[in-house]
Amino acid sequence: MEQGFRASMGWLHTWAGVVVGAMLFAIFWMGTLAVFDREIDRWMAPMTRIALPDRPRSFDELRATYDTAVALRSPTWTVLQATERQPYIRVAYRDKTGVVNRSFDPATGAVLPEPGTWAGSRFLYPYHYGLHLKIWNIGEWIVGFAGMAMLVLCVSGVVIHRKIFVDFFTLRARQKSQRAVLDLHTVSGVLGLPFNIAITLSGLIIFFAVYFPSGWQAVYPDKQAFNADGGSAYARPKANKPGSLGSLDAMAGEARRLWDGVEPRAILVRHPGDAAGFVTVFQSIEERIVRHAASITFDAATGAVLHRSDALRPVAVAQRFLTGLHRIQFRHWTLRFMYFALGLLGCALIMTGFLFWLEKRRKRHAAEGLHGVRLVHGLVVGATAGIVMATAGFMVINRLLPLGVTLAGYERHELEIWTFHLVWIAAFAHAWMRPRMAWVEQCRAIAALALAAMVLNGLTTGDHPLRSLAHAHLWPVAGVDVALLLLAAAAWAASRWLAASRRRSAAAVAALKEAGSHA
Amino acid sequence: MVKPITQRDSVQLPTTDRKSQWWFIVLRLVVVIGGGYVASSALVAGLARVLPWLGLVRIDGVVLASMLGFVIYLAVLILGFARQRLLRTAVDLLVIAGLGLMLAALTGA
Repeated sequence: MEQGFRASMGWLHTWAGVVVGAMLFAIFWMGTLAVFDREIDRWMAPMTRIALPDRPRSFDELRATYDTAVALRSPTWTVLQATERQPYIRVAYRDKTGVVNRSFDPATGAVLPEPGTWAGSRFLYPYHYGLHLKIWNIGEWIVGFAGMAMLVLCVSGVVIHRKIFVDFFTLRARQKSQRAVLDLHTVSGVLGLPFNIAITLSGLIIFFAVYFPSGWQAVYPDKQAFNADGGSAYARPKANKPGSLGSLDAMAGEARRLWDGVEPRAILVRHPGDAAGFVTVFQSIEERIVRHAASITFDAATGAVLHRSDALRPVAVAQRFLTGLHRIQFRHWTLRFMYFALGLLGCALIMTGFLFWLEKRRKRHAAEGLHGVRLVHGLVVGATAGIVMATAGFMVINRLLPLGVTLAGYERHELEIWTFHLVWIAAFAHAWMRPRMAWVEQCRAIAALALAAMVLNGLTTGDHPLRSLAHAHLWPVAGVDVALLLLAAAAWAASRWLAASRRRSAAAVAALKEAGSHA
Repeated sequence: MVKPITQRDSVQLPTTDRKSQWWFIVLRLVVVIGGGYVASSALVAGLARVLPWLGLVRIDGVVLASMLGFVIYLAVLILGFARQRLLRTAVDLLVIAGLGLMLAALTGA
């Protein structure tokens, strides 16, 4: 049975990997970038490159936007104070078309211009769990499926490598490429195994109510009842009579006093302008892993305390701990860099798995006239090099498009997203049309685009690395620039190595032919 | 490491059997992935009702059952693909789904 079990796990690992690998690479790549989404935000939206002042700004100064929200009949009005990773005040409310985000300078209170980009936190980060496919939540379901497949791949991968700790110390880089690729796959798989399992399972668990709705449906009459029971959040219906809003700063001050000096980080007003409106003041979520912000709710008009959030229940603590672990919104720079590195290792794992599949079949498929290798080769190049190229293209176009530009009815942020998708589609087309040169040429394109993005940032904003490294509030910009430079260097080195090995194998084939014709 | 698979891979099936083999793989995918999800969901529903009955607070039961759902589904997927006999897998899935529904019915809302 054991032999049979391992054989079936091998089959499962091979085919689940090939079928889901392309999606998994996209999810891992975007998830890895999402670790630094707010730093990428600052690179892509230069108006938000602001030094964080020492003191938070008054909530009441933002009253004008509250009046706008009331006029628009927005169901909520939210203020987020500036933080280290997002050094500007964010106000959000809804109009008929969706969420309106507005940003303010925390030092002067001045309105910041529209960023015209969805950048990291609104495009790259949601992409890794929603794939930018919003119809029927189809993106979330595809990602959920890929996540389950990733867990299956982790389990089956461990089963087929019984000597897992021996394999860990085996890297035959100078052996023939098939062997080296397999060893790289195994080493990155073993090294990243705990992270890959934890990040995948916790990612799925964030969406437990989406992926296993049967749980809450069996117990609650509807989603609202479930949310109300789970959130411990205060709620009361609209009175449908106009009401006023008291001093937000007084409420924030009262919250600070009740919390023994902990600074309020956010304010949420429900039913703005209604007599039953209420104000919830939240603490920061950056202080601990468990993703839960303690809150106090006040009556909007009188400022009387209506409710204080309860301590979380044990199972909720477990769920929020896993959520917090995955989303890493707590303050920990060392861990943040480790997540980034482990995410890249996960990308390498997926890519080497693909390469091994191809290497193993290349000769046999050529001999038997099968098209699988050619098809998968294009898929692999497009899914791995292609998405990296598309991301670099996304950043280049961000530095080229002037603010406020529209084209054919599309706004600037939509044009950026179109560019991303068009470059990605072009990468797939190129990989299928020029299979022999696909890797080399796409690596060159990545190198050129990444370098161009870095240079354009310096030219268009003046924040070149020499300047940005000298100012602490520009370090995120410097970080993105350095990452782009490293990417360009790595892609350039890879393209040189690939071109050289292509020449070597071509020379070997020619020599063989020569020897054959002389014989 | 992967020797047994290579052997299995290279086994050439008679051309007439190939199509049925292909359909059989599709059937296995549907039964294990689709059926496995339905069975896991039913068990999650059953657990979500039973756990409060065993003393957990209602919301805790729901969250715990739903989180366990991913582990249950993972086990179902692994065992479903490890099994050679698809019929036995289908029967097991029906048993799991039945168990879930029974638990839900016994502890009815």
